[in-house]
Amino acid sequence: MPDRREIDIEVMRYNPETDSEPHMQTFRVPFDEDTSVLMGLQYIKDHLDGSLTFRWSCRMAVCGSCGKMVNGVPKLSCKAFLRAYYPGKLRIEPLEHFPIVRDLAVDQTDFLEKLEAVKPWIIRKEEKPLSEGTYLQTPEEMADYQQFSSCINCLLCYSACPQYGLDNAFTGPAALSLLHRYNADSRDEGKSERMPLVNSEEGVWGCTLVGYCSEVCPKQVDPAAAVNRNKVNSTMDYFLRFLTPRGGVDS
Amino acid sequence: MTARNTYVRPMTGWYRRNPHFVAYMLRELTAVFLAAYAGMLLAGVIALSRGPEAYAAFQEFLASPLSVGLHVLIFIAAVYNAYTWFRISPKAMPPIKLAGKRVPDRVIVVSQFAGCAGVFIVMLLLAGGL
Repeated sequence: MPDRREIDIEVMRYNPETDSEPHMQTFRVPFDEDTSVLMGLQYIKDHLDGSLTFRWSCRMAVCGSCGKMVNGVPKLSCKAFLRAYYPGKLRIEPLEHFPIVRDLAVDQTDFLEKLEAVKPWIIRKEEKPLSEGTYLQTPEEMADYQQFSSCINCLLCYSACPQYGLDNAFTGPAALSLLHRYNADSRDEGKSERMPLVNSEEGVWGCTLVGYCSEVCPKQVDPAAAVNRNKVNSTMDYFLRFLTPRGGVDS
Repeated sequence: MTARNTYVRPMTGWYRRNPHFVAYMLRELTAVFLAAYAGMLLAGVIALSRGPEAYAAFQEFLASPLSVGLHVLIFIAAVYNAYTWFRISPKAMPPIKLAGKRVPDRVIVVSQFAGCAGVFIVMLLLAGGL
């Protein structure tokens, strides 16, 4: 006997061409044990209202495209299941703290600019020629940054961060985690280029350790740890500049 | 690209929307109680500098029901403040490595509570005249 339960999904709708503000619309969606929240939305698009707009790609928590607010909590909609909300209902909204472009799709431009600003790539003072081989690293050195490299840019942490919501000048959890990922990498020599951003009000000092970013992260990156460890680094950088000729960085 | 007519949602009442934010705001509020306690200690020092009468009046205030009530409130706030910070402290410190392996967050949190309990017991013993 197939499992044929139904659940109400309330979705935030916003049409930038006709609406002055968003409104909610409820759809009744059949589901079984394996139906993800994303599949629920796809059912709506395929069978009930083809105009419903939302982002998704991989369906397996790798691409980071399908983040939504599910009952007020930032979630990857492919990693949350309708059965968990039954017999209640779901309220699906676009990710908090980002401007809504249409329905559940948000404008990510601000994050993408912040991501670029942290220079998320390995910087070398002098590139060594290919003939000298690759940059080597021990497993211990890799362990120092590996968890921070798991970030999939899904933006759940930004939606969990009231500091970013209140003032989006704050660089925010994911971009600062990726900044730390490169600063903590033994092959990288670009710390001095990234420290001015870390030290600024928009850098780590915009964080008040609400800590919710780390709870909602679907990849166990622990952005709160990345940000707050850099408060220590930023403080050291500040005091060491008086003591060392090179200004404390790269020490 | 045409200009997009995006909608930005208001943040009104954000701290009430999620239990995590309520707990966070409570943690931040405890700072007010800790500041009040610091103010009370400062008042004691000022009273002491003004002579025996002023200090006796301060001691009398300390023994009043109002002061005892305030101290109980401040104590609860201080315990909650310590509890919240102990829980998140592994995030705020560089990773500690023992014999090449990272000490798990849980061990750091538990050892803080254990250390605090130890100091508390020693203080009680000292206060008891041992």
